[in-house]
Amino acid sequence: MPSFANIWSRIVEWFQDRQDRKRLLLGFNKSAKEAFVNGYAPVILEARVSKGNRAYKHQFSDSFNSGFRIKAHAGYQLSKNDTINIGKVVLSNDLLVRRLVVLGFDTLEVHSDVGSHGCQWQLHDFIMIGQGGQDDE
Amino acid sequence: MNDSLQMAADSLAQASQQGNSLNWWMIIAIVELVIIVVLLLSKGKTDDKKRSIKRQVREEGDINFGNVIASSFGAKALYDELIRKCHPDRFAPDEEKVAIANDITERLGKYKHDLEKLNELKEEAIDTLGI
Repeated sequence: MPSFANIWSRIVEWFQDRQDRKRLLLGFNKSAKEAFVNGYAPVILEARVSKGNRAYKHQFSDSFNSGFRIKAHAGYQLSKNDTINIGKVVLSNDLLVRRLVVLGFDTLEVHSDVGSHGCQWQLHDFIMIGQGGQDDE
Repeated sequence: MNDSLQMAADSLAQASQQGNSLNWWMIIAIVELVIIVVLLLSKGKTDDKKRSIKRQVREEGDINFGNVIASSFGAKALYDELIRKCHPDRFAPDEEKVAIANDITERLGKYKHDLEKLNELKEEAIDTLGI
């Protein structure tokens, strides 16, 4: 039976996680807008929380919304290569993947605003907690 | 007298209706409380190890989202250009340059999706290989 202090720390931790998730999404979306305005990106990317894939659950997974969805506002359907490329860039960033996993995300989804196709990856396959990554070098 | 009785009956009816609605809200609140308590007690078993991993990852610093976005659209083209220009076969007679080209090519594969690192490698390749 957990103590009151333990329960209280869980509540505080839950709110801290919500805040960190929100900050992560805001940071991503702000950078995506700046990249589009400055001409580094031909389309606006938008990150949001989705339900995720139950099959990709891990021990840090959020109970309800565990998907990190990137939507490309292109006005046309992105090619499969472009979609996979966006996903691979995110997955190759060890720091970002680790942050996503500990914040309760288990699925990365990439799709465009037109069409019904997209790609999904299991974040757990790309995690390197405690091993450091290319960002640590 | 009749009017007074009628008014009393009306107010009683209103009070009982309000009482019913209050009971519903109370039931909903109790159900919510039970769900929260059950979730706190059973789900989210945050042990010390998980907490320390979370703390460790949080302390790793800020993520360069600008580089992530720019890499999504610019890294592939730069990688293709560099992998072609830095191919060791292009420097075949010069063994020193072949070794440098091998090293750069290896690192190009590692940082294939990182535009910032690719730009650093491009600078290095210009300085050392003269591409």
